[in-house]
Amino acid sequence: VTGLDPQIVALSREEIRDAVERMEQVLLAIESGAAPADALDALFRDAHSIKGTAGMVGLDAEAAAARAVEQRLEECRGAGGDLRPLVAPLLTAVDVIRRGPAPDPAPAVPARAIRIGAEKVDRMLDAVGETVLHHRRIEHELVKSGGAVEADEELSTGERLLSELQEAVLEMRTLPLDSITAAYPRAVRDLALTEGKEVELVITGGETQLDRVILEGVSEPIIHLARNAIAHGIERPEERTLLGKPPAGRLELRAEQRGSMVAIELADDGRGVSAALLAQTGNGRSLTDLLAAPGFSTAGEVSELAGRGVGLDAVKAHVERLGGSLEVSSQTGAGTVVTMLLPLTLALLRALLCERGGERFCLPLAAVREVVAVGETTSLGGRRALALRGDAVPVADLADVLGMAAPPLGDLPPALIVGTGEHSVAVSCDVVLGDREIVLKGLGPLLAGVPGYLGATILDDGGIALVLDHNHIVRTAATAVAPARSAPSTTVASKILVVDDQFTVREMQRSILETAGYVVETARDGREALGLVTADAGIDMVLTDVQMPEMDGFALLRAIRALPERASLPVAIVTSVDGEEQRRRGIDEGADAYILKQQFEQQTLLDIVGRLVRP
Amino acid sequence: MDTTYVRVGVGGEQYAVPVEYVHEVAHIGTVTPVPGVGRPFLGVCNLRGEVLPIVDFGALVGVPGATPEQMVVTQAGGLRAGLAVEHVLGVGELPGPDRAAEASQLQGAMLIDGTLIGVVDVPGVLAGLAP
Repeated sequence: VTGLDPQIVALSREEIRDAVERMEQVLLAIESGAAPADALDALFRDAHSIKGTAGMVGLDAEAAAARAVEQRLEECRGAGGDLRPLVAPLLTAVDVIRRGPAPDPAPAVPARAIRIGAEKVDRMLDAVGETVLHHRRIEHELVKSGGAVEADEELSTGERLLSELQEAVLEMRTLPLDSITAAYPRAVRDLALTEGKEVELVITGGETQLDRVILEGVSEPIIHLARNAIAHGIERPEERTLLGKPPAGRLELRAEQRGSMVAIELADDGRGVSAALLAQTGNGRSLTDLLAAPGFSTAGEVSELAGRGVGLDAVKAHVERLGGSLEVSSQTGAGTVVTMLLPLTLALLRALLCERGGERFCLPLAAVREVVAVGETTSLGGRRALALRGDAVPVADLADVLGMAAPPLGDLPPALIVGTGEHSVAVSCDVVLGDREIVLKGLGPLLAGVPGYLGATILDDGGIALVLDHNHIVRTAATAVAPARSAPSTTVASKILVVDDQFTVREMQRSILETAGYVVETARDGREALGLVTADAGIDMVLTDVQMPEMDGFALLRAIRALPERASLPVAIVTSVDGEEQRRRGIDEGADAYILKQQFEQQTLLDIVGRLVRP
Repeated sequence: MDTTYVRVGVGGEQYAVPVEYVHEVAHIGTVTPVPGVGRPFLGVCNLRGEVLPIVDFGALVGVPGATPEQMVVTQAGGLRAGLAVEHVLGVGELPGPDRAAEASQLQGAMLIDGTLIGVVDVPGVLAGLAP
């Protein structure tokens, strides 16, 4: 079309697309027997408006297709109005309209939304991050020169504004799941039809927000999993009736936020995997491992569609590249649930920072179960393992895992217990620097293919820390062969239970105490701590926070004093609340010591602990 | 026709990078090595918030040289990298390559005041480094 304002054409296309989507919804409703009363009129209205709009801007193919649709609807109206036989041909016609003669040029979008390239948003994020660093440098300079109070106030205002700005930019990167699910009902219907099955798709949690990069990456795996479920999970209607199931299978796509992760589940009520296959699981082999083994398929025959497990390895790899993990559970005869656990955002991440060989590395905090000190290890076939609550966890030096040159580790090096699903490994490093929120950045297309990294982040001092891919670590560390080190001499050290709901506080106390030669156990709240005290007679002292979920520090103290055998166990209260009342309460309840977090110093802690137990 | 080039020096040799592929010239600063990534990559650096891969230009063209201090940030075909060099000699117009060069990283070479200057094929170099 020449001589037409391209903006008008773009707007017309948008209008046509909206009308097509409405028509498709009505057609699918008719097919499922839930046709609205005015279905015929509604279809007619949209077909008519498409014809008009398309004709006006010279989209001749679309106009012709709409005219044909209108004609069939007219005939149908004359013949009594049963639309059901028309659904399939009309869906085809609707596709023709949608596709149009040529791919859409990037349309000019009406005023209520603007399209911004993802890379522009990322560039904004970079700039904001740099501004934050710059802000800190100014702050630093000002403190050095003994700056004025007013300037200090201005700086804190600036900091608040900057964090608002950062949040706003990050929000631009997230979109709800339902921004990609619009096409799914149609796709599922078509797939079911090809397979001679009836499938009802239910989507819940469509409003769940996800990083757009993850969202784009996850679309294909979802379709793939849906294909699998329809082709090999859900039975034919007659078979289902015999089994006492409703003839239409149920395919459920669920999304929900779980902490800093988003779980996307695809559940079907089909036949599930065979009992014989389920019997092969166990002994450290999960169903996921079995099904996602390359080339594995539960389908004996070759189908037009992917086999139950065919390509599950690809789906798993895909999900892992996005920093997530995949888990499959299934019940023979009752169905299969595939769960993709994905990071909420790729841009902002809580991560644990550690150092090895002079370089700093980050691991997503969600993937780190705990931090331990590597003491005695056992060796089997050249692989070292660490005894952790009855399990043998493989240990590897981070430098070996990454293949980097680094001086040997010191005595009792800290190790991160990294786990995905039921596999976990211990990766030792020089020092753990604590957890923080980081902005994750890609390594760029040149280095994107390098295995082992999710990306990198810029630290407060302007340096770079590489962000490690925990899935890769688990795979590599389990096979990394390292020489068994001679076990350090073992002495019976006092065992201290550190109770705090904050990971950082826990790990900081642990590292101080372990460095001083104590054995440390940790618990996240009073209840967990009480369980450990009851179960483990070897605990010599408890160091507890006051405010914690479930059971607070004072309640824990009371509960310990009420235990006949452990009533005299030394308990020290660590708190951020200063006040005579609190202190007296602690002493009244029978605390042996009271440590303020504000004055928290390594030596104070060690002095107090040393007074109460022997190292 | 004359084109503008950024002239750089590595190991006593001279090269010219067509300015259309040059984003900027910068000091390298701290390079963070990326274990698992081999030569000619040196690692990544922080270029005002961007994590930029750094390529040892000397290693790329097979000229051993001193520790690179500056980099020419190049961009072509959606790929970006900092080419680490010993010296950035200047920016100026040059007549362009008038003879073939054997190295695959070069478009050709030119003889200026008795010095042979290799003209870097930036799109080719970056594409060659891509996975």
